[in-house]
Amino acid sequence: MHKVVITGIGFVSCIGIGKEEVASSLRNLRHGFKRIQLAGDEVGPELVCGSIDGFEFNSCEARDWIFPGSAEIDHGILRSMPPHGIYALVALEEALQQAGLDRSSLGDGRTGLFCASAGSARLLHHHLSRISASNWMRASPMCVVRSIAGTLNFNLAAHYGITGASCGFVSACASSSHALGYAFDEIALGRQQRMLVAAAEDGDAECLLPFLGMRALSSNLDPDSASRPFDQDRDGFVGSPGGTAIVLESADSASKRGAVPLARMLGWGQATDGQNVAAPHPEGAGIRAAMERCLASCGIDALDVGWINAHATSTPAGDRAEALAIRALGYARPEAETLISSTKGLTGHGLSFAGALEAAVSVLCLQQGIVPGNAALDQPDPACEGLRLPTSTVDRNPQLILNNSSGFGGSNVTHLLGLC
Amino acid sequence: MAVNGASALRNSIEPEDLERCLTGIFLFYLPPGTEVEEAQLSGDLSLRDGLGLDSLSLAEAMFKVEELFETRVENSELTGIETIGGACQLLMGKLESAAAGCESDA
Repeated sequence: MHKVVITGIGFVSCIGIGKEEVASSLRNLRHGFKRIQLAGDEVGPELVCGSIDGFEFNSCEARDWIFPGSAEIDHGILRSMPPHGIYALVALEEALQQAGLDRSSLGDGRTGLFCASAGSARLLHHHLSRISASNWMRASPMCVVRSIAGTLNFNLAAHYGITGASCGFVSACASSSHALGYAFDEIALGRQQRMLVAAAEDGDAECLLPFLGMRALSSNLDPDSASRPFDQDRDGFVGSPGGTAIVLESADSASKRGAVPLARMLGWGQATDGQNVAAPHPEGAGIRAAMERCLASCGIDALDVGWINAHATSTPAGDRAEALAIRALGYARPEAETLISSTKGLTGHGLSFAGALEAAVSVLCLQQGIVPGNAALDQPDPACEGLRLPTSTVDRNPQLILNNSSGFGGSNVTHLLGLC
Repeated sequence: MAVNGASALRNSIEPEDLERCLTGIFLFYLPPGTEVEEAQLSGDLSLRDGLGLDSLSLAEAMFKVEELFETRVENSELTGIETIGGACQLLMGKLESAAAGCESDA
């Protein structure tokens, strides 16, 4: 098995664009939420949502989009992109720059690309409306590649000239964690020397408002307390747009070209609840098994982990299930020093890009030597009894981090990340 | 160019206005990095080799034409379009047929 390291990370998130802004937000527990009428002024419900300054996708026409560097990007590249493709592109450029790679080095067949997004519901709606208006006689040739799940890998693979592996992953909020896990396997098994992982979501009205039907969104209109993972008064998640990118490499490959590894990915595990299409197992059986399998595959004792970067989205059922699963692994024992927190109190829930975002945040925390606190946590849910839940950021290098993700269908993924 | 051509077409269907409008639409959908000098533009300029439209760009442009002129270009017709003039001729035929249909209905 080849040792796998991470040599680049990139962020477009509501708590910052780029590593420096994100690190500052994590250290100071600064969230990125605003009270917004997502569907437009005076239309639809008001909600607290993640907000990213400098990116405007009000039109479905890519020529009208505004984002950092938009003037330098040719329309020919944008024409097949969904809005979240831009988030991923900007994040990937940052990650590649940090890794010391450029586009010319990615078409060597030894570099692959795994992506995660749910597609663009907004563009699909837009295009289907136009098709319907023509009595199903006319369709834009870009309709499919701009909007379906997979649009991210179609666009980025073509743009970066990828000739190695490429694939999109769809397991709802565990999607990008699966992408990262299988990217690890590609390198560990010697199939690829280098893998790019990119994940993003539009995070707009069409993406988020359908969750109202599941009663999954927070109805709390205070940006300072709407997203409060593990708190007994939590009432749902706060949705967020954005994108993340991670460059993984075999340690040998990174060493040969003089790249500085930021962190090591030791392994991953996955398991499925096998009982409900949307709700988590009440005692977190799946996420518990995912953590156990991850630790076993890496040969690491549970209590050697310094921080569990929890999936906890601030929904009543999900946070409780994960807390019980974490306790079942012994983390509530008096001798356990492992800190437990969810950065979704700051970032909100990025849906399919959440897992990769939190993996990149974990890498950043290893670099910074910090464990972010649970923002907005006031009274912990009794299910968390015995767990160490910091409410402010702790100046302690976690050394080893478990990064949890869970998605619909009861899919659960855990990564183990650590210092090199 | 496309806007001026389209504005003129509101008043009458003149081949030169239609050609200006179509040329503007084709230029709008050119693939990245394609540069065309205005002096090159003529009715017999090849869409693929001369103008540089790839198949996806041509499909996009024709989708816009279909929407703008409320017409339908069949796949077999699309593959037969080779020049700006050819596209203009095809569309002119469709517009004249539609206009004749409207007159006979009246």
